Amino acid sequence: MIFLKTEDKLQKIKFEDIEEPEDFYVISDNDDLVLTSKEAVELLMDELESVEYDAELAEFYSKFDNEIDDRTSE
Amino acid sequence: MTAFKPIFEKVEIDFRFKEFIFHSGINELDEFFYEYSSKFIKNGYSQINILRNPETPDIMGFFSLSSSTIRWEESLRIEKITRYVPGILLGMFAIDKRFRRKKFGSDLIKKVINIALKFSNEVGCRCIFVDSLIKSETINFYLNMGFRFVDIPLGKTILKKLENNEKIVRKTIKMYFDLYKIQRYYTILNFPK
Repeated sequence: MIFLKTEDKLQKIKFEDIEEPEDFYVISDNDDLVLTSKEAVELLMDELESVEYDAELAEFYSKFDNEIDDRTSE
Repeated sequence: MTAFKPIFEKVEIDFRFKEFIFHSGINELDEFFYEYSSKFIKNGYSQINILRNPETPDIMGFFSLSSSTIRWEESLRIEKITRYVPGILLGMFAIDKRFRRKKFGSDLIKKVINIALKFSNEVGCRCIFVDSLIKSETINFYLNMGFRFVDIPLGKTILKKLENNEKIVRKTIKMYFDLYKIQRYYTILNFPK
């Protein structure tokens, strides 16, 4: 896997169909749902307030129509 | 394995979990699936969706969704029109060990976003929140699926530590997907500050 530099990762954010992680699971909790740093809040809200429509990402998700291909034999 | 066409199914209150086969290999998730899912549904704490083989008892993956918010301490005195960002928490999510690396996980994430988009037309819901494991492979996956760090300074620190192979104490980091990125109507509007 190509390892992007930190800034590249945060700037790039260009969707591509990458391989799923082997240990791909989620157990979410309530941690980090309350931000305690003014910088973190301002950066998050700046992102939300300046968000732009991402046609490529939208196209990727719009292709999903609940139809799943059989990939078990791959 | 015989070919089949997997289907999504929203789990209803009378779903018989124990008649199906699902093993993620993560005890907490398997226990949640078999022992607690129905209780969460009955109590209205989560809704569960599964991806399964329609012809056998095999379940390939599942996820649970609940409403949630990102907010901040009042003492920070942040002047915004809101005191929190509403969203959906992807609480539990797992793929059966037999079906890993076949992009069913991506299908499940797409289903999550599909549900959230519909929900956001009726109820204020800006984001999907998820706890990503702190592993390069996992964080890269979410970044490439359009997710970002909720706490950006913390996210940058974590990425740098991963690059430098430094020890990281925490196991997960909160990430979010902004539904407005894929909703053209809303993003052409000017946001009120």
